Amino acid sequence: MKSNSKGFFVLKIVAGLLIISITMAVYISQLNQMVTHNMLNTISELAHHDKRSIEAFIETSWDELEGMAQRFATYRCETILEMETRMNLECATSDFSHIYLLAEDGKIYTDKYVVYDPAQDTLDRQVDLRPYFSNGEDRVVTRWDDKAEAAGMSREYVLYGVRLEDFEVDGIKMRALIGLSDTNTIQRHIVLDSFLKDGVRRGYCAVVSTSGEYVIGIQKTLYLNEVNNFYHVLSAGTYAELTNEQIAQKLENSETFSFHYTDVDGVGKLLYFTPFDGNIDWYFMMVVESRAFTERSQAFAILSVAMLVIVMLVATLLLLALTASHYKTVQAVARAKSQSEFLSNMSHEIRTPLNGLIGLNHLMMTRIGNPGQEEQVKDWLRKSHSTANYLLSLVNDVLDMSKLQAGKVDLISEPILVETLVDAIWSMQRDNIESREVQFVVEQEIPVPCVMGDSTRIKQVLMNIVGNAAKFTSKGGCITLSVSQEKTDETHVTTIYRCQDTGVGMSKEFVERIFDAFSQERNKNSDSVKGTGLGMAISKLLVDAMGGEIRVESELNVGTVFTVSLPAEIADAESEYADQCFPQMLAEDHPAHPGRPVKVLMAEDNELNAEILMDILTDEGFEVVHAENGQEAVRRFAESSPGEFDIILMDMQMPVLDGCSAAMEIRSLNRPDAKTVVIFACTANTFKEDRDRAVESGMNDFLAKPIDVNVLLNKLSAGGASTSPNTSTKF
Amino acid sequence: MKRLQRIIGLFLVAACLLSGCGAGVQPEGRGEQKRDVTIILKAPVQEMNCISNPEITNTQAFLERVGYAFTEQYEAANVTIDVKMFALADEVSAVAETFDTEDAPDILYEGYFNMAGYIHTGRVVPLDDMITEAIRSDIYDSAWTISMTNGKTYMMPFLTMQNILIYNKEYFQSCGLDAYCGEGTEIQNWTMDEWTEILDTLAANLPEDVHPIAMYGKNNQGDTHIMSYLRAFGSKIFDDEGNFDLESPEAVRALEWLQGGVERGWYPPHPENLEMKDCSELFSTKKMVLYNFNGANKSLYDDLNHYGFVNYPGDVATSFPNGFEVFDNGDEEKVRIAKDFLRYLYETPEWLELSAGNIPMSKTVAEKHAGQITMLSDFVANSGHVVDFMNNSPNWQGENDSVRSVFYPHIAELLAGQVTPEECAAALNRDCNAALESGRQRSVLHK
Repeated sequence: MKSNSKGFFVLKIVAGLLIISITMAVYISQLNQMVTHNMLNTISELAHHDKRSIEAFIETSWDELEGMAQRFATYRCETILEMETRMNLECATSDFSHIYLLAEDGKIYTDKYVVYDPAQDTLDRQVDLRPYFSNGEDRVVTRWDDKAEAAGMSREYVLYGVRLEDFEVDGIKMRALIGLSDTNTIQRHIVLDSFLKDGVRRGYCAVVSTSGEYVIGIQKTLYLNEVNNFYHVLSAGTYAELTNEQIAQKLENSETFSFHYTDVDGVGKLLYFTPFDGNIDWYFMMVVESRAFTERSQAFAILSVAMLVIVMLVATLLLLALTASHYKTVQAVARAKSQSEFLSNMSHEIRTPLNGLIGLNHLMMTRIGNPGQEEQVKDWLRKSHSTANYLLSLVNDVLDMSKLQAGKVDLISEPILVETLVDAIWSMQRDNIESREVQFVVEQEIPVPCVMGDSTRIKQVLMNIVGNAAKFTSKGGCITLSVSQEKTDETHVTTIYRCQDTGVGMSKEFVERIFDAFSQERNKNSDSVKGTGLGMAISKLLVDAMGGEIRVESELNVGTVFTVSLPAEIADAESEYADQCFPQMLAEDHPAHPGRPVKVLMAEDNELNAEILMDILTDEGFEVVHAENGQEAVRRFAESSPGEFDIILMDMQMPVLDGCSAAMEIRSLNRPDAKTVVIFACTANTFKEDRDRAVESGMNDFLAKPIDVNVLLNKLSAGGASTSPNTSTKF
Repeated sequence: MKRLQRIIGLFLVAACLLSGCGAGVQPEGRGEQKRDVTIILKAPVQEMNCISNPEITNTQAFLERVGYAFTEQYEAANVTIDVKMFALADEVSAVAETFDTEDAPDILYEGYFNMAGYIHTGRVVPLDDMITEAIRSDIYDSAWTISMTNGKTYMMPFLTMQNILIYNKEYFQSCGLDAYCGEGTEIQNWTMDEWTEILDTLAANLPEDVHPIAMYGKNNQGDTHIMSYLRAFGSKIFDDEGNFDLESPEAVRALEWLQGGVERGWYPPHPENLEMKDCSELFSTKKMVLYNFNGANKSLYDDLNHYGFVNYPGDVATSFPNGFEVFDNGDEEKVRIAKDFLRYLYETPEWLELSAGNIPMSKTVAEKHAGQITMLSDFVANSGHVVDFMNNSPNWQGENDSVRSVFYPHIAELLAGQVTPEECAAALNRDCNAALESGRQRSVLHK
């Protein structure tokens, strides 16, 4: 059952962890999506901001060119050189690197006095800017590279142009005013600082044309023999969500879009594209490394996990607290239920014999004195006595159970002669068993005769088992008590007591709960069901307490086998302990004082008990003086002549002065017999601490209530003969 | 043939045979597991005139051809030669700014006037261990001299170009300056008075949109040519300590002469806003009479009779040796392979002969193609006018505080009339010497 619970608990933990893992995975996935979404929004905002900034810069450049054109018109230059000189000075004070005037015939007059004729090579290249103004464009902006390799020169420009109307110099009609600006100038407007970490930029912006050419790249084309085209860069990568064709189509459609891409170095990136407004045929592109996203989501994830761990920790602690509380509640309920069941059982168990006692008393009262019915009354008295004994054993068992369950049982470790112990069982059970015409066989194989242990408790267990066997074994059956030993090491041995009967056996269901309290199996074949139902439970608890094991095998109508294995330390010697098995026999060795009856001072506050005891003792020849409390007992003893009282029976709980206090006062009296008079504690409190308290107060022995008359008489006989109470202590 | 031999003999006056240096260098690592190695070879875009292979018209074609051939025969590793061409104006971005990045050059091919500065960064490795006796003896000694620093060879000379001025004879003739036109392709020398007269005459007689001589100050491109003008009245530019000495009367006079040309109409208006490339275009479109020439302008070769050649004022010419450097970027194998590449190039006649077209640094190639190399005899004859314009100065190129970075702004101010020649001389001395001192302090040579 416990194993199942443990398995279920582990299953719950695993299931819990699984759920947490799945939840975390889903959470992190959702978190990534959310962060990506937010980052995309951020990128979108940044891109649109930079794009607007570039658009504003382009507008400003056009405006500057138009302002320049207006000034040129006012200069009224008469020669080209004069115009070129004006352009030279204007250029020197502007952001433009070059200022060109595009004539209607295609010639270009420059601020550097060079005239480009599209019909002729200049440094192995032809410079023709007419196509940019061939469709009536008023304003033009485009990327324009000036490559004059013959001069070891290559320049990347952004070309701004404004159409001129009615502008002539020296009879030459000019079509457009053009400003060339280094791409670095516009690049300054798109510096991406939002994804900096430790000074390293994890993103960049660029402006590309629909043909994939970098209008403005992350850096100018440093190496002239390298291809600088977006599609070429994309093709060199290892992964892209979109093909070049799909991207081209989207650019063609002026869509805003983004996609993931892994470059040739394996670096994951997100590319975001948004078209420029108006007649600018460019795309703004923002590229951000994927790690910028993952780092941000990682930060969230770490925070979330930390929070989750804290929350789980708190929840776990709360759960543990709740579980502990619940467990305590369950235990309390179980205890209450157990107590209730116990009370119910006890009520049943006590009421049943009480009912018998009351009934028998009634019968005896109605029939007593009737002639011819003495035998009948004697029979009822025997039954009454038997029932009262049963009640006593029930109370004793309950007390035993209580002590065992509370862990208050104190086991004695003393040398035991195993054979003697088994003989005692045999002698105690022999009559009981043989009277039932059941054979009782004892088999012994005891290589280690003397072991350490609590002989009383072992006998209690064995008596229970053998007694049960006797109860449930039918006439003609056989009970075999076999004892063997297994040596575990040089100093330890396990003694195995095996009781096999040929009785009625037990059902499988009952075997499973045979060690539960108040468990009894009703069996029609059994002639006795009398018992408290606590015997086996007590036996189990005792064996457990002794570190042993008790097992039962049973088959209905075949028989039952109980096996008790008790480990024990091997005792060094055996002879000196052999005579301790039956210390109660001492009383027989010490007869009362000859010449006068033994005088007993009886301190008892309960009148009925006092009367019964007085009658019993008087009938047995004792002289009894009654004291109603401890104080009176002290007084009577003090008033008596020395040696007048042989024995004092001292009830422990009494009004005015309790027994222990009274005993101490008596012992402290200044008279010769104060230290020698035998004082027997007489109490219903049978726990060890009660006995210890009695000894500490100077009492010699202990009589448990209800008092067994035979035991009482034996003790009194012994006590009366004793001269030194300290040497006859029998606790 | 005998005349040709004499000319070559003159050019080889300073040459002597070296022996025993770097002989028998074998590439290490042969036989080990082959590794994929990419060697980055960078060079500025430049035209080439290769007599032995007319298909090769620029440095890119030359380097790619040799690079491919090298990788085909190289066995020690799976080598790829990644040739990266850049514009001269992007020198800093393409070279200095790529140091300590994956784009750093392993080999650089370009003019010494840029390359020399990198030696002092400690990144350029000495090449003596790859120069065999045969290679060393085949290169002119004068070329080795300018390739060495502190006794070690850091640059491999391949070809050289002499910088002089070219002029359009037609304009000279149309302006009545026939008397100053030289014979054939001879390289002339004019006195300063003649220079002044010629330029004044051109300014007075040329059409309005044609300008007598190139002048510019917008950036550092072509600044070494401008520096040549400072020698016009006898300044050597550097003092004995190697510092700029431009406050001397000769140098200040040269600056006055240059600044005066603005007012006298020798240059296009506002030359401080022009760059060399603009003047190149003006000359190529016949809007300028005198311009820089170094033999690389092969587009002019078919029409050389229409041009005359003259040393810079002061009878000065400079030379632009071109060659190779190997950089140590922390990978010993790459350095070894780069050296193997150079050794392969210099030991393979087919590739070495591609230097013929300009002035080869290989005696063998020069002798073989002497009759085919345009103006070779003229340049050889003019070698006595060649001056070392760099004086092996550190921090010449690259850093923001380099000589080339601080020189041109002062020239621009001079041309714009913002400073007097004396002020300009003082500013040039101050800033250029500070650049040199900074370079000397930073100078680290690779061991």
